[in-house]
Amino acid sequence: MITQGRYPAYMSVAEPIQQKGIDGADLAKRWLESTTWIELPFDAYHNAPICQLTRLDGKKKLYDLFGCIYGSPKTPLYIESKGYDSVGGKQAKEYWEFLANAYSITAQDLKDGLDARREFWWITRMPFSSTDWADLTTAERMKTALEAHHPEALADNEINVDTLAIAAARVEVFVVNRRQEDFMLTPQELALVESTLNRKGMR
Amino acid sequence: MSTRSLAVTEQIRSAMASNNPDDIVNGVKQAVAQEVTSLSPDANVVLTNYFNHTYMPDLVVEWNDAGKRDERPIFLRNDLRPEATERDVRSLARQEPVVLSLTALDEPSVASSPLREQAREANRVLVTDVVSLADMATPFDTQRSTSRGREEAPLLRLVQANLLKGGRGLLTPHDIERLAQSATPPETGTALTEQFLATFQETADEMFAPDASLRLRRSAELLRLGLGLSTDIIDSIAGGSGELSEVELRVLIPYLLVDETARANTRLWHYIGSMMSLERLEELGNALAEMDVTPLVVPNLETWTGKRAQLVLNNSYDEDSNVAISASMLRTADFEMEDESELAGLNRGDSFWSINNRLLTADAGPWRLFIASDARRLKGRTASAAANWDDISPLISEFALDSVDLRGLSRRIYVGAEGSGDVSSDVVRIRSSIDDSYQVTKVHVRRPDDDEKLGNLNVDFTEMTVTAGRGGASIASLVRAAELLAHSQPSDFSALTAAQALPLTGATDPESESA
Repeated sequence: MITQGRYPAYMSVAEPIQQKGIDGADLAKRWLESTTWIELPFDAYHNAPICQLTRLDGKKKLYDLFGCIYGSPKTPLYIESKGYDSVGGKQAKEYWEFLANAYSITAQDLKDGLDARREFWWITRMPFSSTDWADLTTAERMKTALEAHHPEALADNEINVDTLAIAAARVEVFVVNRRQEDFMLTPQELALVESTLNRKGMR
Repeated sequence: MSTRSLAVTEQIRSAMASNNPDDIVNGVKQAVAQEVTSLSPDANVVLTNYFNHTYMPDLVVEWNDAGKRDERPIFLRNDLRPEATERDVRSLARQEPVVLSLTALDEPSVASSPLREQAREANRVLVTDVVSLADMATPFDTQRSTSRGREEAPLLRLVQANLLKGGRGLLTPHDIERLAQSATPPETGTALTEQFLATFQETADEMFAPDASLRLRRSAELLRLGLGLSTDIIDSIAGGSGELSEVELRVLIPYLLVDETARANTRLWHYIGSMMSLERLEELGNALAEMDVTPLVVPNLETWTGKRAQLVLNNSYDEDSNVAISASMLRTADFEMEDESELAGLNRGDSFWSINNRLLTADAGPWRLFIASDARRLKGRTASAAANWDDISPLISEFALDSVDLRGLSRRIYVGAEGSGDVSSDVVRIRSSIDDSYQVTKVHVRRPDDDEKLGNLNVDFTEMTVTAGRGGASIASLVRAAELLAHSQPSDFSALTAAQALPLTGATDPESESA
């Protein structure tokens, strides 16, 4: 059996390393980077400090992947990746927390006087809460997450309607089919495309 | 685990723990680039703007191999998890990359795994880690050297230099340990035995792409031949065509030049010479500083070509005055001085070839001869005296005389042929029929055996230069023609052109110097 035995120094203790989680994050990274608009160089397993954000209540939240969307300026992008391969389970419950965290972190940024313009994307292989699908990223849904599921994320602060609108606009949900990868351009093709498009800028 | 491995591991760990993206990227890439440069000092390492990207490399190693540019992308990965790495090997294979993990993979060298097999089948994909690179850079922690100061393990140096350029398959620290051992004789001074070479070749075949493996084998065979451990010559040497790479030249030539047995092996040097040129010898300047390169130059005098020779008076020849040549004297002679420390190499009285200031240089009696592959590097003097025709005419007899401008007190006569043709007899007739004292500033000559397509040699007595045509001229021809310039103080240049036993000069042997 192969082990990463010798120098596991970069492994974070903050999140258990689960094969499905790692595989899910790998797929999310490959898929998003294949768009040529996004790069995700850092992950929670090896770069925990940079993948961590602070909520209003001071609690740290660790994201699976951190990178950016190319643009001028670049947009910071945090990925919550879910490796579920069946309907049900804890996905819907975890998504409530995801919404509450997105609001709380954005509110903390604004409270600190700097809007970091962070986007929070939920990448999963399996749909969830399908009857509410159209409302998953609305401000109303985020408000419910804060009031009914995770009031601790507010740390006794009132919900700010403007912040709610800002945070909700920066949340997205994507479902990635595993076969999606079969129809992506190959790394070699993408390298050629990128050398022409130069989305990122000069090498 | 070496001190170097521990250091680079800590450097990367520290960078990865940062909460600043730039600090992570710069810290990790600098640490990796340091290891790459250590292994391949002749390569240029380009840091890209990408980090841990799916399809864009983090670094690109660029190098020139015998004038041909080549490169290999390096993709950094946090680890070598089998599924992800196997995917990388499959999807990146056509880019022939190095997939380099920031953490070591603790897999025994002999173990068989799908990743090892897949990496091997990919033919030119190297999957390894920074600990392995650091272990390879200093496999024994300290550099072994002999009492003469040369590296004890030239094969190991070549393996190090080729690892990132031609390595393949999965190489863990265990593999690297095996590779380093296979390239190093077990004890200092141990001969490269048949068994040692067989083991080395087997390991090289396994861990290097076929072309790189062949080159390593060729180097091993050259060492074996040079050190007198084999009498099977040339034909048996694998990959016996093509040029030697810069690294091969830098490692093999200095190593063999200080070995008495190798120095006397003319066939070895002729063979090595067939895989290089005067220009490439000049480029080795630093690696050959202070060394007597006569064993390498003499067997190749007729095949290597140069563009210009220049003769200057060698003041250090005057034993009574003890005047050594100085930088100002060279500048007076219009030389471009790149490194004045190289003057030390000029101030020796022996007749041997050396490389000084990227010029092939030798002393002969009161003269110092310079030969260059690029005529622009020898500008010549401007006001040396013209030669008296009667003084040089006996010396010209071994050449075909293409043209000469005879300047007498009362007549000036140009003698030349429409095409290439020897006008010597015409000049003799003119000289005997018109009495005058003829001065000559230039003659155009050819050695009878030289290729006519290369053109003639312009011997300029006022510049004290010999300039070849566009195609250049053999070094032998340049030396012979330069002897015409020495007519005022004829000297013996034969030691510089004769293939004979070539003992070490005192200057190249620190032991004898200190004795």
